[in-house]
Amino acid sequence: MIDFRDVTKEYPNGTVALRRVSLHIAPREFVFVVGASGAGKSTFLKLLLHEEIPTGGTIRVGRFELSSLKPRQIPLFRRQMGVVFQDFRLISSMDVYDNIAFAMRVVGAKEKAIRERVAYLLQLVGLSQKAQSNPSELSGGEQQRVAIARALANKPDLIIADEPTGNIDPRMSQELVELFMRLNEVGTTVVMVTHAHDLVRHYNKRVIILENGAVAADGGLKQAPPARPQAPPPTPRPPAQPLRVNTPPATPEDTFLQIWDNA
Amino acid sequence: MRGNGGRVFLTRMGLHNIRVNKTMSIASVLVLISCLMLMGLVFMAAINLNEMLAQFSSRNVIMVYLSDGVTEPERESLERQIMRLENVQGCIYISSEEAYEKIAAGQDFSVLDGIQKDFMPESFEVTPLSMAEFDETVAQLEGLGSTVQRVRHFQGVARQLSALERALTIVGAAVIGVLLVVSVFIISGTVRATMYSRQQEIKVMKSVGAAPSFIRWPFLVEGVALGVVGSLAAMGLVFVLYLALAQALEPLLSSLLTGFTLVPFGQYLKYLLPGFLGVGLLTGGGGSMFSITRYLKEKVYENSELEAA
Ligand SMILES: Nc1ncnc2c1ncn2[C@@H]1O[C@H](COP(=O)(O)OP(=O)(O)OP(=O)(O)O)[C@@H](O)[C@H]1O
Ligand SMILES: [Mg+2]
Repeated sequence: MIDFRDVTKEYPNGTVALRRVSLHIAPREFVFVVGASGAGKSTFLKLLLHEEIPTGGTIRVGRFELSSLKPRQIPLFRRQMGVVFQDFRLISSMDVYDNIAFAMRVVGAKEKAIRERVAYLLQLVGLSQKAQSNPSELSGGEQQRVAIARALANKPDLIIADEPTGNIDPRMSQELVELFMRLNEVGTTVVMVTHAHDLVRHYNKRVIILENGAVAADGGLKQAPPARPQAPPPTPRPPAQPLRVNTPPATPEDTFLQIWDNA
Repeated sequence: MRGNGGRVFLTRMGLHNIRVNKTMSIASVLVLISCLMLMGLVFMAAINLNEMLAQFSSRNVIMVYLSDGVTEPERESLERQIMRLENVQGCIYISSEEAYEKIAAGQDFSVLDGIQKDFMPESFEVTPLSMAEFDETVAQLEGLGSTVQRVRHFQGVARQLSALERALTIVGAAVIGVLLVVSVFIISGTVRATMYSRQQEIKVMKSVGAAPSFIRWPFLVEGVALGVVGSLAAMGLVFVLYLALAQALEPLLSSLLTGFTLVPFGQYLKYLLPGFLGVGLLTGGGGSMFSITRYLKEKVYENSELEAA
């Protein structure tokens, strides 16, 4: 589904946000992406969306090889995924209903289908009462839930979520992840960036840890990492922050917890 | 863009943008209105001129004015001479008194010939057989000797008028052309301003996979709506202006060119309405397309300056 090979992203101002990242995410997989602030998580997602272009390496998403994506293919490419942005990206001049409906109008859905689906989604995220509200009248968590509902609007094959639980309470966060899990069970690939360590610990899923723009670790907490060859070892970091993964760990799980606490 | 609902929704959005972007919208409509009004006025002047022309051209008689103190036998001999000319169908004698009455009753354009009202010469009103040999007939009449003071006809005036009309058309077309370009730019600027203030929105649309045609639609609607509003307003204003002008000019015109009335407004309507609407649609639609294309081109890959870490 997703294939990064030696991907490097250097922003025009010289910041290298990703360094030679290689990873593979199979269809129907559920992946958490974690890492400290500034580690490059959002950059990773932006590259996935073709919102930023890598300065090195190649990216494949589904049947699209991103470097040869024609401008007119971009809309089609993006429609296969549902994205929850870190900053929500709601349209401030539209009410909650239209924000969600918009994603369906974009793909040419019928108004009747839109009405039904939006009503269902609003109920799903517990915002049926707020359909006519403007995003500016909502709390952060409510806005986030609108963003989530919009991401689900077109029943995407791939859900990409940047900190979707950042603004919602623990119980709702858990419900959200449960929802993603259910969608994953019926075949949706999910890539979720999060800071919520307890959530990640709670679910036995693959975790990719980014550190300073490189993959510091990749695998499951209680399961062996996927059989695929792993990313090249992370680039050396300043000695002030020794990478604990380099000290031989007892079990893969230990490795993870170590990097985890470091991240 | 398959779903109709989408289009309806996007159209509403475009109309909404006009209200949000009030100042610029008003400015662009005003420019378009002035352009169209000028266009309308030039057009109406041209039509009226044309009408005058037609009236002059239909007067194909040739006036032969007699010299002072021509005696009655001299006059009768002149009349026979005239009737003997090949291309002459009829010849009517008009005495000084009759000429004066005609002018006083407003049945003559003679004022244009610069003849003073205090003295009207006697004259013959000669009707030529065929217009083809008109100029030859005039020359023959002019060569009839000293009893003829001068020969006048309306074809000369008609020719001058048609030259004036041509000049008006050329100058008018140039001015209108320039104004049209200006309106296209202004409308395109307005739409551009909207797009700029909607940057965020456009970006969101793109990130959920909206096709460019989808993103374009509201802005196209905005431009076209501005164009249509501008053309309808211009139509109304031209109508009011025309009524006022007609009221002011009609007495003057009919004293100057007796028997002449301005063309009624209803007659322009069938040209002006589609013309104005067409121009409004073209400048509005064209202006916004111009902006959209340039804007979307510049922003193929957006940088996400959004992210607050
Ligand atoms: N548009 C940009 N231009 C220049 N530098 C950028 C840009 N976006 C991000 N960066 C830099 O790239 C690095 C990675 O940023 P990124 O947004 O990917 O981090 P992140 O892991 O998502 O952090 P957070 O958890 O705070 O969201 C940071 O150092 C950031 O300052
Ligand atoms: Mg981020």
